[in-house]
Amino acid sequence: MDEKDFNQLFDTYAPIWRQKLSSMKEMIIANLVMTAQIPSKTFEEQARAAFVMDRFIECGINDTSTDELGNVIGIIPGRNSKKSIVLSAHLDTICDSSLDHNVTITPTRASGAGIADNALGVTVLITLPDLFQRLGMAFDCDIVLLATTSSKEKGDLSGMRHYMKNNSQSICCNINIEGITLGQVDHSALSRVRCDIKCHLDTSHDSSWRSLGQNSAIMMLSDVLDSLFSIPLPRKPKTVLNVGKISGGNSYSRVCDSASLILEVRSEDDAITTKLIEEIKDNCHDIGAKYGLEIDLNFFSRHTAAGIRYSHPLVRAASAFVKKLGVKPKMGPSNSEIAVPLSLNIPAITIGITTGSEDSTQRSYVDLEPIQDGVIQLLMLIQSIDLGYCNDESA
Amino acid sequence: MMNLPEWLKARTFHHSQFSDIRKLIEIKEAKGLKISLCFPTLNEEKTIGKEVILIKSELMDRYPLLDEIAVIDSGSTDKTLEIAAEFGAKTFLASDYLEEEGQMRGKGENLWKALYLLEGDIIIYLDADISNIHPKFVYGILGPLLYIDDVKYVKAFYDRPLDFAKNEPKKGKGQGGRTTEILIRPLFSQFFSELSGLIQPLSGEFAGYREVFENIPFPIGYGVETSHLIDISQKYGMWSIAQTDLDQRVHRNQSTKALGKMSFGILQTFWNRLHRYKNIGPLVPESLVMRQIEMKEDQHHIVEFNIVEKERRPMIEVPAYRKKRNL
Repeated sequence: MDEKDFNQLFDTYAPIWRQKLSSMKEMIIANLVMTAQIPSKTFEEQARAAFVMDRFIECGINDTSTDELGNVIGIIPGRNSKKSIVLSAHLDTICDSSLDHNVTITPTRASGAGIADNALGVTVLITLPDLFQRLGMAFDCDIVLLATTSSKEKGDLSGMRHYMKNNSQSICCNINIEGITLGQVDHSALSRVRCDIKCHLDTSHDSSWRSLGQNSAIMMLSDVLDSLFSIPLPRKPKTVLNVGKISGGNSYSRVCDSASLILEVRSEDDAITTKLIEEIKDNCHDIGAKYGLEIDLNFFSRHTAAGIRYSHPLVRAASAFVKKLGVKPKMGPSNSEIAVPLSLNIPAITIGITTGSEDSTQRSYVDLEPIQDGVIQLLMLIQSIDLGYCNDESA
Repeated sequence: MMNLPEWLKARTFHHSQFSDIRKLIEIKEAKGLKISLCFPTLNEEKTIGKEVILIKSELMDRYPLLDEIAVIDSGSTDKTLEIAAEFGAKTFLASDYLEEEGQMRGKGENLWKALYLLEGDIIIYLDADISNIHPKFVYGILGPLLYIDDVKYVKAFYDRPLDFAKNEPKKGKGQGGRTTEILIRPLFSQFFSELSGLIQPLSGEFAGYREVFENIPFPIGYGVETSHLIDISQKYGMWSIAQTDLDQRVHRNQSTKALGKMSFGILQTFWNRLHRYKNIGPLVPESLVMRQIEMKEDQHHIVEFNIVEKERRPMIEVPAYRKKRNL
């Protein structure tokens, strides 16, 4: 299959679906409101998961279940269910449950905490069974609708990891759904590791005036920062070291006894990540020795670089459909759940549904109008995969 | 004298008891009922779109529980009606209808005209400023009306989750707002004690049968909720009234001065009922001017508000209504 074939496929289905989908806008917005209004911070996804489960059951998905990590799994059996297509969206957000989660709707926009990342993705997932039914879509493959927990921050994609490790299905591919990256087709995952660094100082016997300006956890952390920023990073393979947050200290006049930072290393090459981990460890060891103390280092969330090539028919299809929507496709690596299936050699991509803005506050919004295009793109992909058009014959 | 604790126990519900929407539809169809939902509005463009789309999609398109959703407006200067129509509600400007009855303006006016404009045998009223809107706001107050034949009118209350699984109330406030606790409950306790079991008599979310609403007058301003409770309990008895816990409702916080004006209106409705049902009075206020004190440039000033609580007669007495419904 080349771009021309995918274009033809698009022209066959999309116009009919578009016509039928116009009456489903309200259903999607209603699901979006109900999903987004349930707070769902990482590790606190139970209420949103329960809602997703109810929706699956209401839609008549008899095979609906949750697993040990709270993932919700709904399976629509195919006519010839030898293979399954996994459609996934993460349930968790980075928004604290104390934030007002009520959604505001205008004719063009829906705004609210966590709405773009990833209430909209979850919404599309729970609306799909209704869409399949109304569009009269039936498949040879099993369709697995997977709402994952523990994706963000310290969650470390453990919901997706758990599912991929324990499922008994033969997965032909995974499409991961995100809110506001319409046009983006992520088909690879970078090598990644995250690290928490903590500096502790015993200041209990120090009067601040005597010791002020000599020793403090902030000074220690400052030395760590200097060392991190002086590590040379290669331009090729592209490698990034990001210090995402620093914190520490108590007041104006007290010596700081505890300070910490969090960082992430991403690289196109696993060997570089490994080398950087060693370098960071050595540097922190040296700095700790200077102060006569040990610096706490915790490396976690290590992923290996993995991906499918641009020439993979799944990527080609996604790119062709995005172009047909009049959007310029953006291809690239992802920091999302697809790292897990890709590392297991399962073809996977992450796609977006609409445009908008996300900033972990109530100001986040999604544009309503492009949602239909985003959904059509997803339906086209599901259809193409089911027809066997996205199998990588060269593999 | 009725047994108040018994009423409280038998007529207080939680929305979760009615979440089986298919069952509600079954009962509705067996009884051959039509159900209408009305949002009375005045400048609610921020929330109305969401309310309409959510309720319409869930309770009309997905589950055919409601037969119509309407917005009846007092003359918004924002885009309330435009947005409501865009998301699929029927929209009416109250002043365009029943002009021969004279012009009045207020929330109660919209509620009253809903009887004329809507088709339902049951009418549900929801305030249009509920930011945490959810289908439970509808099925919660509809449930007792459909399940229990004697119940004719249901009122919502909030903030007091009941743990029905363990059959014991969780710690909750069990109280209404300031106006309820300082004005309404003391008045009810003194004159209409059977009504003191209502947890939030002033909540703006309620539902009832047309036959009840069309036979009672509608104050057009602040007194509509209070007068409904008194009139319905007097006319149909307390067992026709029920209340449902809807957990939480995000409220607009009103200033104490705004509540003062509200109380001024409610009192007029109340004196009226004392005369009608208790043979007291007539208690006619000597003044219908509410006076409040404000500070301006370090000086105290009297600010006057003319608050006249007019009432619409029972809809059943309106000729155009009788004609429309072939009465």
